[in-house]
Amino acid sequence: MLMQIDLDISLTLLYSSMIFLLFLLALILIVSLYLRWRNQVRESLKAALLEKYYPLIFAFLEDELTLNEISDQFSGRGFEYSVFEKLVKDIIDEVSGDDKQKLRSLLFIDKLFSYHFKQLNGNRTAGLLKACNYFSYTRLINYKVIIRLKELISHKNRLVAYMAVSALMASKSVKNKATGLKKIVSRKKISDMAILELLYEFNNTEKNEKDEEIKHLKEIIEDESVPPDNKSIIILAVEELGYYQLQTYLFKLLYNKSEYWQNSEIKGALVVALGKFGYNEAAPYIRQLVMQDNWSLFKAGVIALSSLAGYENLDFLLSQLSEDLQKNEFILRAVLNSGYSQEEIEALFVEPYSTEYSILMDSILQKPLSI
Amino acid sequence: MAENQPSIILVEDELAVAKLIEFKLKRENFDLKHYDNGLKGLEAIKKYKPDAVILDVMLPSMNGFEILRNIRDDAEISETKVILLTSKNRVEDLKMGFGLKADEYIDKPFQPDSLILRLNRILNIN
Repeated sequence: MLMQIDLDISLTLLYSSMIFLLFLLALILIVSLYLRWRNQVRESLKAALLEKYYPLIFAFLEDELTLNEISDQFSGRGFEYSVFEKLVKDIIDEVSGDDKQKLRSLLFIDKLFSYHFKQLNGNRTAGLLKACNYFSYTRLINYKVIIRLKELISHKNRLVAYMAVSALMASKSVKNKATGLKKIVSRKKISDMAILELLYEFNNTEKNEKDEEIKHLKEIIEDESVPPDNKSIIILAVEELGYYQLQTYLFKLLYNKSEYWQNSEIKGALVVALGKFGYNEAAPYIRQLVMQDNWSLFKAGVIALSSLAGYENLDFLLSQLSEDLQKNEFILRAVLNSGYSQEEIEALFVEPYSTEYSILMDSILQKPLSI
Repeated sequence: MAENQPSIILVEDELAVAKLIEFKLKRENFDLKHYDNGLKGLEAIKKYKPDAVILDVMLPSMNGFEILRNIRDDAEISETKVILLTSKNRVEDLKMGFGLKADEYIDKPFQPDSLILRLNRILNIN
């Protein structure tokens, strides 16, 4: 009797599970069919819109249609704007001269601007990204757009925050650009590439704005709320972008005794930047650093001294060759990369390991890697 | 190909470029056929023997240089005028194109009107 009841329960459970699984399968099938259908509808709608827009855009290029006439073609659906905008950008990429400028004006259509402004003030991530991209591309940045972009820098999605700063970089005001940059570099987990890209855009200002640019850069560099990994990228980029006016300023920071400035990553970046700037006054300080027992500062110091070059620095670096193979390889690679010939370096080798160093240098030259 | 209209075959996989060229050339009364694939483009060139060919360099299935080489090696179509659409600053593209005797080059991004001018020039159209 008891066994019969167990069997009944098991069978009921089995049937229920099967029905549930069948239901789940049917649901998955329906959803995937729906998505496929929706995709097909979108693709055919896109194809139809492209067929409509191509002749309109080309007619506009031939002065046969005005901006208003093109604007009248939009019914107000977001998808229309997306297709049109992408198409105009694709054609802009392929043409040069006056046509390029003329095509850009198509992106300034009021309806398109209003659509993106609405998206910018919405909450949808995709809409926010597209809007930031639009304002960055068109540089149609008025004060209302700026206010919203500044808000978005604190958005929980880092990509939205980055895109908002990128759009702010299209603003004409150095102050606005700097505000964006300051906020974004204070956030953690912002990629090196993102910071570099923004700094490149920040650097792209008029010559008469350089002083203001430098003032803001100093504020960013001094800001101790900026995570060390972001700070080191900024310092290296300052050299890369040729802010030579900041050399002495960066050198003074080396003497800041606070824990933040003694961070190896930041200190290493300062040293490398000064070396690449060719700031010779820093050489004695850097030599001291190379002799300390800190691998990352050692590497930064070696790169800096080999960039500074000069026989005094070369001589010093070769005097640091020891029984430590890893350090030796790093030193020899650095001096070889800085343009000295093998013969010049070998002439400065001293006993007892000259032969070993020469062999090591041969092997480095056979497998040159950048440091 | 239609009579009295210079016949052109365009082999270009970028739809935006193709549409733009198509629009311009049709307005100038050229008879244009477009292919977005190298192999199909070459087949069409052999079949229709157009007055001129506009070739993109980067193409799926067969690149523009290979098509140009095939044109120059085929006695029936070797005299076809060819304009190469090359990427700006790609010196190697230019060298390769010169070696294969392209008649004209257009750097991308390009000015559509300059394409018409060059096409008219190589086809001796006033």
